[in-house]
Amino acid sequence: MDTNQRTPPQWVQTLLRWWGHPDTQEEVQGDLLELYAHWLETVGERRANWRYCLSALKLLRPLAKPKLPLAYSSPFFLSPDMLRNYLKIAFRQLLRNRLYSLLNIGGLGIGIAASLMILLFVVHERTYDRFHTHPEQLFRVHSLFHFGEQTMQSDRMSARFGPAIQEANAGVLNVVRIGTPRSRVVIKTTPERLFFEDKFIMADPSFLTVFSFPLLTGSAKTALTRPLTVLLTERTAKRYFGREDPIGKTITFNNKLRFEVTGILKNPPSNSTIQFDFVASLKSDPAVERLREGFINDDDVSLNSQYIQGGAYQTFFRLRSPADTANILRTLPALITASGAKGEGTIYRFDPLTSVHLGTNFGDTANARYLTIFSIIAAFTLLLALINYMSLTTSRATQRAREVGIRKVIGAARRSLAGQFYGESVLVTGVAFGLAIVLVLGLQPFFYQLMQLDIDSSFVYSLRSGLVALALFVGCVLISGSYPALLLSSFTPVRVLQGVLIPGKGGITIRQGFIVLQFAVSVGLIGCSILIYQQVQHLQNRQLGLYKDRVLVVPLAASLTQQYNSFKHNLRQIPGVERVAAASLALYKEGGSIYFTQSPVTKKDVSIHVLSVDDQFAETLEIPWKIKPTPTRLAAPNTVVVNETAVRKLGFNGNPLGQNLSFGAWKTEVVGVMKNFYFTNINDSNDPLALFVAKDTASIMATQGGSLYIRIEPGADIRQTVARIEKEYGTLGAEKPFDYFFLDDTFNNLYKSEARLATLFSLFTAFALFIACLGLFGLAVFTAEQRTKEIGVRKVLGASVSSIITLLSKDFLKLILLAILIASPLAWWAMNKWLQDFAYKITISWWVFAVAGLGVVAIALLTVSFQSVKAALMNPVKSLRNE
Amino acid sequence: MRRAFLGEFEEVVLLTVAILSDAAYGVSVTQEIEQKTGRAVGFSTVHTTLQRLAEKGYLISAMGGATAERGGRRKRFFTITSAGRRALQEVKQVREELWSALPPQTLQLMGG
Repeated sequence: MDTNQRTPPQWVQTLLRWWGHPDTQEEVQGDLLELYAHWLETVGERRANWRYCLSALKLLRPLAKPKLPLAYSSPFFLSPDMLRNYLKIAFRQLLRNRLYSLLNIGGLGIGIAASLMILLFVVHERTYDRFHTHPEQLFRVHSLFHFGEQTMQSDRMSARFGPAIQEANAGVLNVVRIGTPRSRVVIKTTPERLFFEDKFIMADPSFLTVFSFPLLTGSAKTALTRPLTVLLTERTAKRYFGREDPIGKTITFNNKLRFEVTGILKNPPSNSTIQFDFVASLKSDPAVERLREGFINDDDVSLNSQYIQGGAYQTFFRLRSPADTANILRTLPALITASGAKGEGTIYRFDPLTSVHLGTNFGDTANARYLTIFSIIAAFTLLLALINYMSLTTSRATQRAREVGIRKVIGAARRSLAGQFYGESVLVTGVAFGLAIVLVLGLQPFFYQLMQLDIDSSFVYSLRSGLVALALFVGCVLISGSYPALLLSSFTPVRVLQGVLIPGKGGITIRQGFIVLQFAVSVGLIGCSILIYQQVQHLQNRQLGLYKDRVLVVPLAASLTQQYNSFKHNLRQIPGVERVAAASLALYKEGGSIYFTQSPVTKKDVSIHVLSVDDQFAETLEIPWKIKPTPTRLAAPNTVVVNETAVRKLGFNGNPLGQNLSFGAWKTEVVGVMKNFYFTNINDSNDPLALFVAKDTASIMATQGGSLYIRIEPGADIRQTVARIEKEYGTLGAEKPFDYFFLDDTFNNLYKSEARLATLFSLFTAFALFIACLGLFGLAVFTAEQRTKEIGVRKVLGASVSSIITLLSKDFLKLILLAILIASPLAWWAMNKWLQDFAYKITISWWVFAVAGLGVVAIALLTVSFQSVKAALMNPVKSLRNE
Repeated sequence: MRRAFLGEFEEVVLLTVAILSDAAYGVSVTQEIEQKTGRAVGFSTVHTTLQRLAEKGYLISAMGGATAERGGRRKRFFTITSAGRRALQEVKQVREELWSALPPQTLQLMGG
């Protein structure tokens, strides 16, 4: 037999090579070859082949028994025994140093909670209007136009605007027009269920298809097609009808119009720009308009206007693609001309709906820039907490050094040690995260109230929020574990076990860097929050030119005109009421009317705010006169009083009295000048203002209603007085519920977003300072431990306790001074930039930073002194004996 | 101490390794068993049993020197450990105790 025939089948050999167990491959192959030769001789080739195949197949994995354990094999990295050991050690460490664990987990937990809440808020703001099915196809129109010298903006278009564009452009898939009743309305079902409503809108039937506001009951096809039909949101239906089925029932609008309920809508999400409680059919608008303006011909109601121009309706488009806007804007001028409207100088813009909330949002407090500031604050908070975690963990490194040394000697690789410390970070971060979630859920209502927010709980519990939290968690674990894992796993076992603790100078530098960073952030935040607080106070306490404290504003309906005089008389009898006046407008709450009037001197158009008031108004609010009208002329027919700005803008140099001003068809004569007082809620500068003063207050209220200004005597019990006023109001049998607010509150509300920023800043300042102190405390413990021997030697050689305290504190002071030097200019720069936006602003004074710096130094010294006094008082015998 | 548990075949393999002393490796053990017991033994069975015994600590193994036959592949030689010896002793003792507990007449019948 030649050698070729004496080899076993090739394929079995290959199979054995591939699938045989690698640990025993060599001897198995050899043994089988030898046996094969033996079999060839004893039982013949066929049976030899057969036996060979059978044996080989039985030795293929997974049939083959696993390996012999190698003498020094490295065990499985995640072996359960080691994991159990890691966990046990981690828990023991946490339990042994309770205070430290508490500081560490608490600090991290609060930090995560704070940033989680801010992140939620930021994500909520950034996801506005993205819940619609086709958010990228939705657009809103706004226009920019000039009047006189002013540029105005409006998001309200004429009725024809949307449909005309839709007819002319194939790219427009649908149009929705939304009208509003212009002021708060009163809705009633039964006498007990009577409320003021702000969120009453009227919309085209396409509202239900273009936007994703799901209809719970009712038919989307017919719901908004007939005039005087209305859809309620779930919450509204519950408010007005309780458990009854509202479909087919009616609600009464301003005590006159009856709307039939045709369906229930789901409550709009809190991150929707379009907010509503009632959606009436747009065809109801003429009826609402007639209720407001008196009788109007069919051709003249806003809804029937054929002009393409600005108007009364917010207009939304669903376009095939965003690129279609260019085409629409190109064809628009021709359409405008064809409709007969004069639109020169007006610019129309299509805004993606998703950009509206943070863009041109017409007076909302949302602001993309503040959002960025908030995000930065959140990031800083988290960073501070993480840095604090790292520095506290590494400051305890000396205590873990021996453990690391022993583990290394026993055979732990650096990688598995790093894994262990990462694992501990996961554990601690996990606990902190749990704490954070509990905190967030518990403090949510408080936070919302503080920040004056409204976030749906369905948003909080959504997948998106979950992902945000998860990302935050992973990020925290990665960062918090990194430095400790690297540092602790780097110890050289020999030196550590010899007792030479951490030679790493680099560790100290990094930790000092952490401290500088933490304190820089603290100093910066303290400076910023002092300045923001000052600015908000400055805005709120500015000389408004009127008296705003203890002034109660009560809106009154037009229908109360008849009873007004007796009501006013009765109010004056109430103890505690000092004065009563009336005006057509609730200051700082409602935007007033603006007229355009031509100056008789310069012949220029000037936009001027108008306000109707009674003759008590100036005295009640203590608005001073520049030129007081003669008593007979004040409140005479066809007269007007203007403010100083109006005098300047109209060009009445020095001699305003007797000038004629016309408002529409109405001609008036200027009889007096008031000093400027602050009245708008639109911007910060004083605008021109014209006041029509009337003796008979009733006439002010006749068409649109107005507001009473009731000044309460100093020292009177406000609660009692309000209750008495309410009782008096009750006797009127008014159709509107009693509603009131204080003028100063309303005014302060104008600075809601600034006040919000101030609150947030002061909160985070406190937090950052707390964290920074924790970090400093950690470092103090660390250095004191390191210098135990040095302190001992110094004491033996005669150093006093105070000199040692100075020695220990000096190092930290240097770091903190460095932090102050870094932070102050940065904070100054940032605040200077922020203040640029205010017409009326504080000047930044240097002492703010000095105060911030001194405060921080004081707090830091307190923190450090605890540790340095302890170190300095230690008996040198103890510290030196131990070698 | 826990009593050693040895399966019947394990016992045979362990004994064979002990008999072969320095020359025990897969093939020799297989052939020795075949010769001594006269029963056909699969190599794979012997191999896995050797592995199992090594795992239990009754055998230790070491690779031998390079060989000219078998494609130059080395042999893995097995040696019995003291634990292995003790286990064999125990098994033997158990057997002997059992034999000695056998009533004489039964023994006679069997012997007959």
